[in-house]
Amino acid sequence: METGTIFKGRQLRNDVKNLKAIADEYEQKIAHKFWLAEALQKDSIQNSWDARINNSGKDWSFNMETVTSAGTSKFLIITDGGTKGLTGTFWQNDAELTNILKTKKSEENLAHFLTSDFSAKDSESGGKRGRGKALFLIASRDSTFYFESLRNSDKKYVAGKQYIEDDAVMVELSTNNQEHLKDIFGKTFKPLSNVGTRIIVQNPQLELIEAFSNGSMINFIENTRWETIKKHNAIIKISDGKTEKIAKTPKHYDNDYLDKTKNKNIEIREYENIQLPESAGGTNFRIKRLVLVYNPTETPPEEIQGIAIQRSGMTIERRPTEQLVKEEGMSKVYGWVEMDKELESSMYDLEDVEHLNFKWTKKPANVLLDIVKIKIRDFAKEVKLIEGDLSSKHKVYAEIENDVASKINNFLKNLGFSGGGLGKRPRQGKERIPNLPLRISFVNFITSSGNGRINFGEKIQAIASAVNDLSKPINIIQETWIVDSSGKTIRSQRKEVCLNPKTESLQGWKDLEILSTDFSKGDYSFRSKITVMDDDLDVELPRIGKLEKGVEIKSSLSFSVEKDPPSKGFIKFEAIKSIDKRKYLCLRPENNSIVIEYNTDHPYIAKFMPVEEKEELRKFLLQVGIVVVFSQVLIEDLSDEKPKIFCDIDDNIEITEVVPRIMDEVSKFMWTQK
Amino acid sequence: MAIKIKKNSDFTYLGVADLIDEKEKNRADDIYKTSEIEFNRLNQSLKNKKDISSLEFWHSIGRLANKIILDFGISDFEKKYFWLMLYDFSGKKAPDRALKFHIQNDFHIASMIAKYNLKDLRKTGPWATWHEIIGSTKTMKDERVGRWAVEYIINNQIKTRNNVRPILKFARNRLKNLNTLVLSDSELFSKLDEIKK
Repeated sequence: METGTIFKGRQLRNDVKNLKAIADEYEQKIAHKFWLAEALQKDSIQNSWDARINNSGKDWSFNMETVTSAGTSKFLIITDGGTKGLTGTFWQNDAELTNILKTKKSEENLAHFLTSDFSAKDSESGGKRGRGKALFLIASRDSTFYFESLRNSDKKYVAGKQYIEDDAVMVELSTNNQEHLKDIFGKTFKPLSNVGTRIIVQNPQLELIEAFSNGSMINFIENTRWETIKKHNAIIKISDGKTEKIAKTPKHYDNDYLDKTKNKNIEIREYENIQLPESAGGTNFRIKRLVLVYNPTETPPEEIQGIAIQRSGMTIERRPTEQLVKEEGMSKVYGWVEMDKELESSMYDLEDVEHLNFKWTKKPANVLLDIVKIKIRDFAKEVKLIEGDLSSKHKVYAEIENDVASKINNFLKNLGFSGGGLGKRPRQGKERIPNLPLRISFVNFITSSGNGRINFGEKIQAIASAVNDLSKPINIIQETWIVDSSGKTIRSQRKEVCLNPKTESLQGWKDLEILSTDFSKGDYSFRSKITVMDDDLDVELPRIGKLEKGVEIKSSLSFSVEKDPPSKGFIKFEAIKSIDKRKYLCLRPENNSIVIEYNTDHPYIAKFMPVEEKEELRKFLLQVGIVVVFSQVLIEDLSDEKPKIFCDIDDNIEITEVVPRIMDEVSKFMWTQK
Repeated sequence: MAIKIKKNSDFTYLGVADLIDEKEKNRADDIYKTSEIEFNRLNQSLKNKKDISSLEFWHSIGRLANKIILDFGISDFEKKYFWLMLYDFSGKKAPDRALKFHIQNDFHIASMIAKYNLKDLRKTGPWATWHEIIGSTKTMKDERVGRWAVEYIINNQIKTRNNVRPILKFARNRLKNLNTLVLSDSELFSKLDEIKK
């Protein structure tokens, strides 16, 4: 290069190497002989389904067939119908094409189809970074495929070819020439007469052809697209030139199989509209439907096992149930998760480009998975697949469990971890929020134990006070009530009162005897509310805003009858019994906590179980509990954008450095223990 | 005053008082039986209709629900149980939020939109849009808020979900921390009409 000359141009790239890298990635992730067949059906059906004209899937069709032409060369032909086709603007040169791509308009299908690494898709559609197109080239032993499309928008016909020449992907495009492919495939070739797109892969890879004839391809389609087939009666056909097969809903997802009146053996639970907590990173993330199925008489086939995580009607991945709940027999539980749009959209950001996995350590995926784990465990208990917790049988140890848990929880609370992955985020800053001048106070709620547990026959003082520290009188409606965990009101009082400046109004029950006739064993909430009945007060309160007619100020506290209140800390302990040698200490999420299960049948733990050894049990739980907890804290902390403790750990850290970092924190805790 | 509901394959009577007398039970049985017959009939006829939109489907359901409410004089207090009862004939389980908090119940939403002309509703959007408009917690707790939103949207010919959302956001924020049930119609609507300012 001469002095002073500046080269300006596009970075050169080797497309063959890029294609090889894409293929390697798929092969590594899918990891079986027919990986290409699995990847190809997933991407091409998803792209076609996203391009359907009718949202309901009416008139949509999808065919894949292998054909032999002139007895020698083979072709894989993929044809869809009822789709928009390769729509969008035509261009004359690279500059025009670049401008079209810059608009990122989803209707520019043609431009996106003929370029790589560009995609205008979002989570509502399935595609990502246009990887699927590369698969057509990978699918061909000659790295060549043809395409034609009859567009729904303007009924124009486009056809062309993509192939490799001199290590670069070359593109040919012809518009409005229905003879284009006839020139290549001969006079008998019939161009598309209905709207849609056809892809013709020249000389497909041998494993791909084999997948058509040995049934693998139809299985991959059914196991991935079952939701689309089931809900929309979508027609997907494949043929190996001899036999045609239509994809069906696999038996284990079929309504007849899942109908308890027809299939007596089956246990099925459907959970709908499960709201994820705000700690998931959004205010309106919901699991639209979680379905869990258990049939004690059979284990589902391997390809169905686990919980299918569905997005946009396709199964992205299946999470093995026995890994979600580490108990024997769990592989018999299978099911699926459907997400609402907002959650899908956030999960889409955590999805890999091949649509095969999510990043489960990041929010909201980790929170979603925790909820699924909790529901599976509850379900397994309900259907008696696993036993309920044994803590009640080991009451003598409950005190030790609580005591150790509270020591660890208090320590963690000071570090800003007051609840597990499913709880609210700890409030930033440690200063108490100042009292509002108009408020509810529970200083007159008094129980004998003070720890929130009340036994039958005990009396409590359940009184709420409405306090007015303002300088003007306020008319209010004051309501106080007690509800059980199902929302049923047990007691209630209501009055209208004028609350004078610097006074309070008491409401509630002075000597409330907790009798089994009124209260059953369980959790309760004592609630109080004041509703302002004056307008034009000209008062603004922090967090409430303008004091006007209708403003509500509410407060509540909880108590439990004949049981310990639910743990509010980061961890709690629970005894389990299992002869499974792998079970020593196990972790599972539960609402706001992490439960550490310790196996009392494990020979090492069993020696602490006699009552006279209870102090040894205390030491054991403390020592192992804090180590287990810090590994969980590490996960929780790193899933946050701003880690509080392990802020020095990033993606570059050596794995060998992680445990010593955890042990640093454990040591700090143990230093404080006598 | 009570409503009969199926709970775990048994029937239960839910009412204002804990003790429900025979007369109230008989009335609840009547409501249940009539609703069962009428809704099964309507479901069948809607199934036979080709290309019926979800909005039209739920509008028809809502009209029938309103007729039954009128025929039997179902009180405002009983309505929350009546909405749950209707799930008995739908083949669908009531969502948890509908069961526990009596909100986001499809039948309740259908009843509210059935008070308006289908043609007007169609102009704004499909069932999913209306479900979002009326299904919010504030709207379900006080029907007047839903009424205001529907009328504001129809009168101002607001179309598409994206254009509807700022109105819902305004209503939600303006009524945040407020118990609207203690407000008179004029007090409530004057607060909501601040949107015009």
